Amino acid sequence: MIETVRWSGTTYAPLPQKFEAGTQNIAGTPTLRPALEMVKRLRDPEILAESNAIKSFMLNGLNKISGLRLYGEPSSPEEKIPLFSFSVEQAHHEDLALILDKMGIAVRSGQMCAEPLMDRFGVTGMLRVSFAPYNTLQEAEYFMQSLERAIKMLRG
Amino acid sequence: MKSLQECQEEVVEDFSMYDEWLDKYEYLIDLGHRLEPFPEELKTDDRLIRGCQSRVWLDTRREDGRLFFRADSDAIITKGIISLLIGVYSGRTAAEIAADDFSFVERLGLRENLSPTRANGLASMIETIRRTAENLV
Repeated sequence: MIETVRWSGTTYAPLPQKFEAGTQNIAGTPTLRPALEMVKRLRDPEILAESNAIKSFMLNGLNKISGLRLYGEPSSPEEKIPLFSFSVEQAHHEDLALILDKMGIAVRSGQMCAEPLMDRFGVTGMLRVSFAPYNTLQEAEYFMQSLERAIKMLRG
Repeated sequence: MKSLQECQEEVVEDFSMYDEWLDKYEYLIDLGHRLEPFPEELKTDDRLIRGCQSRVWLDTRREDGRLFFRADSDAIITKGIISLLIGVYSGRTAAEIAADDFSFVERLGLRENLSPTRANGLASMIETIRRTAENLV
């Protein structure tokens, strides 16, 4: 586990975290076959349509929230995968992740193991929500309602 | 001044009044907003607690044999958690703090409700307070 990563060099966390390796991909072995079968199903136009609907809904919804900065916005929605990294003014990414967790939503928060990129954008961390092919538009709607509620809680 | 144990009981009782975790977070957010302002010039690297996902600064002052803690964080829920810890341990003697087992934190249920990296941050905060006291005993 690292402490800081900069272009100039990397420092490691104190012991014992220094020697903490990533979790081995044990779950990946038995799930490889069902995953391949799932990839075949992804060609299903209905799944693709749902994914596109989620993308449009999310891009539209996130851009409406005041003080929200979305990273990696493509020139056309077709180039975008349903994965959204953002930060919100007056709402720390860690606080948002904690609250969303209690609302039943798992998001990634922090430096995303990409400290130089965080420096590039001038932030200490971001929040990332990723939609999988099995997620529905209804779930995206629930996410947006929950995010708005969480921001309201933090801004008071 | 209330005893350390009385103070801990009070914190556990206040926190257990809320059944839902979202209400507990609302409570921590409120505590975080009410935490005494922390001077910007004290936000130095030597006061920064390592291992927290959010940045946490802890300043310790010693007066008449007692330790006084001030702290800040860029995350408001973390600030609320700090506020609980400071409320319990600030103004105590180093011996009193060093002799405590910090088990009241377990009873708050915070650790199991935080992700591993965030629980590590909480452990780092506790460890810093404990070590500061132990070094002075």
